[in-house]
Amino acid sequence: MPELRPAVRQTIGIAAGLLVILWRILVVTPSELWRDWALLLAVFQVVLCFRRESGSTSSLTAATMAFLLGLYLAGQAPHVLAMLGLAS
Amino acid sequence: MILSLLGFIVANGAVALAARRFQRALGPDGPGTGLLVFLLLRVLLISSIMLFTGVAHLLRPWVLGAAGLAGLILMVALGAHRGLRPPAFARPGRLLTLAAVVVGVRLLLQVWFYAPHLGDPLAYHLPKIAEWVQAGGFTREMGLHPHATFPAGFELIETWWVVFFHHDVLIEMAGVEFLVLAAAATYSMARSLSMPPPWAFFAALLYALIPGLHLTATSCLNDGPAAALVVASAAVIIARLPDGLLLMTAGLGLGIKPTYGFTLPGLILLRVWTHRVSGPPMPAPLRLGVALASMGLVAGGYWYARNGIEFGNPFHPLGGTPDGNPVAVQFGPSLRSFWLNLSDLVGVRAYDHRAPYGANVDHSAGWGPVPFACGVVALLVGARTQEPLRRLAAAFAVSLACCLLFVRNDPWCLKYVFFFPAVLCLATASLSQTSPAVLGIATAALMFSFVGTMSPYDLSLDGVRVLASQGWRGRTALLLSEPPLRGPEVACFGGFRANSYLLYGPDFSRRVAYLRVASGAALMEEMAAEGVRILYAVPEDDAQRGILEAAIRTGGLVHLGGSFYELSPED
Repeated sequence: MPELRPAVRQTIGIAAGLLVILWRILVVTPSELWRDWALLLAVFQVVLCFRRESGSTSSLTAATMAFLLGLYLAGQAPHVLAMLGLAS
Repeated sequence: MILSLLGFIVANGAVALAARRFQRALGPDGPGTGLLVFLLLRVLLISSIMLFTGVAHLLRPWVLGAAGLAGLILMVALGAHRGLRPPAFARPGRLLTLAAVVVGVRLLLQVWFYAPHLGDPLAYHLPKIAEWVQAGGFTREMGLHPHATFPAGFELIETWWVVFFHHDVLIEMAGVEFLVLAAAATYSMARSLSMPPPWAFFAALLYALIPGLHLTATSCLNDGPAAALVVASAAVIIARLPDGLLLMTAGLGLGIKPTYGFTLPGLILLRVWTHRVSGPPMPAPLRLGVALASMGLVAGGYWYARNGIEFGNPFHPLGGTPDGNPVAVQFGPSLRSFWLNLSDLVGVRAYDHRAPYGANVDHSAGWGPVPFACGVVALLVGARTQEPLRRLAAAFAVSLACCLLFVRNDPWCLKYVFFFPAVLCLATASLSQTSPAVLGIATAALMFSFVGTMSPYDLSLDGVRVLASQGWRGRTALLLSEPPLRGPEVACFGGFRANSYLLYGPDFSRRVAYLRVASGAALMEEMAAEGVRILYAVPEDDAQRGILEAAIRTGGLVHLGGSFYELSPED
């Protein structure tokens, strides 16, 4: 893989993130945007490109992961509970 | 049974010694490559033995046991047992070891108490194994499903687990073996990415508990094994193991499922990049490299050659018109499929919210919470600073894109890309090293995956109870959907929905006569000619329903319950 200069890589990262944001805004109902996985990841990617590695970046990363985990569990956990006979 | 067990142990001992001998000849184990290479060589040897004995009609327990004994004596005479140590594998620490033991014990219990139950294996993967075991070799008869002629590399390994015992109680071990291979490959990749052993082990555990992949291991489907070989190929590349081993792995992958081939562009890219950045692969004895590559490519290419000779098309039955074919498979690339698959994956299926976990990942990705919550985020963070991870992720993304381009957008299409979460698990483990918060979230997600994979949705806990209550000798999923079947033979009529494997019985003791008839009268005549009175019929379309109804209308067939019918006494 050709080694890119950091500035070029950052520009590509931001452009890719913005493209995904645009795609998701175009195809997802506005009321559903707050829980759109790809949109959240793209926003995270753009924010990441503008930040330097720091403690607040780690907090942002953990907060994003925790939110996504909650989002995931909201969808699959009822199925798992039903499989275990703990919910209908 | 004692003799069967002895033969099985001796044959496995011979294979293990031969694999270790090949492994030592390849050179010293690299960091984390020991178990990976050993397992790959074991799969190669077993595939080759099964292929040879299948073609030569020597697929008998006593032949394999005797050959195993001879092989064991030969290996000992050659000194393969000297200095024998288990493949190098660093200890991961108490908690991770405990977690792996718990997962391993649960897998063994699942193997013991489950019986083949999923539609595709029952309809077309496994009936051919039953025919092979009964006939002592490969047969032209493989069942009624149009996909029966698909490559059967995984079925060779499943046959190894049943042929000695003439019983399928351990058949799921074949899938478990590939799950271990997938974990070993992830471990090896993590070590190649400079992760310390405990974190490499964590990455392997994360990947082994990807819900779709994990449940595939005990489902008798070949999607997990195909994914395992994709991940193994990538691990071989980035560990710079000899090219002979890589070609061997590719051959085995293509023999298990053609979907492996869709990932080749990404793997080739990874091979080129690794060569440029890290240098050429480690040297290996030329003759050994050529031998391994040839054996792998023959084991994988056999099915395509057979189809080419028998049907004039290596990919038979693909390539025909898909109109009106309910089980049509896309042949060739399609941008429309790519877009639909990608949109579905990103917008819907990654959430896994539409269906419970299962091996077929209906309307889901089956990737579970680790890739969804942690994996992509960790990859975005890690790829900023870790060039090797970035390279690996780019190669996997190319392979993923190619797969999405080549597979039809149906509810199950994402089971073909179970390899991709491996790179997300690697990124998660890598970031967990420096962030306790990420480690905590990843661990919570892992525990959820463990709980969620207690049982697949298509085999409810009640279903498992029914299976467990049967005793291992008679354990069959037939009773989950049909009345009991007795007698030494049965006829089978229908198509892709006929779960004909269940008819053979877990000990392959029942003869199954497949009926390919065009009228009700012909159906009854064929049954009489075969000397069979019981019929299992699951018509696939109106024409077949008409044939069955015609036979019933004339009074020649009496419904027994479920999908079973009996020739009326006067016939």
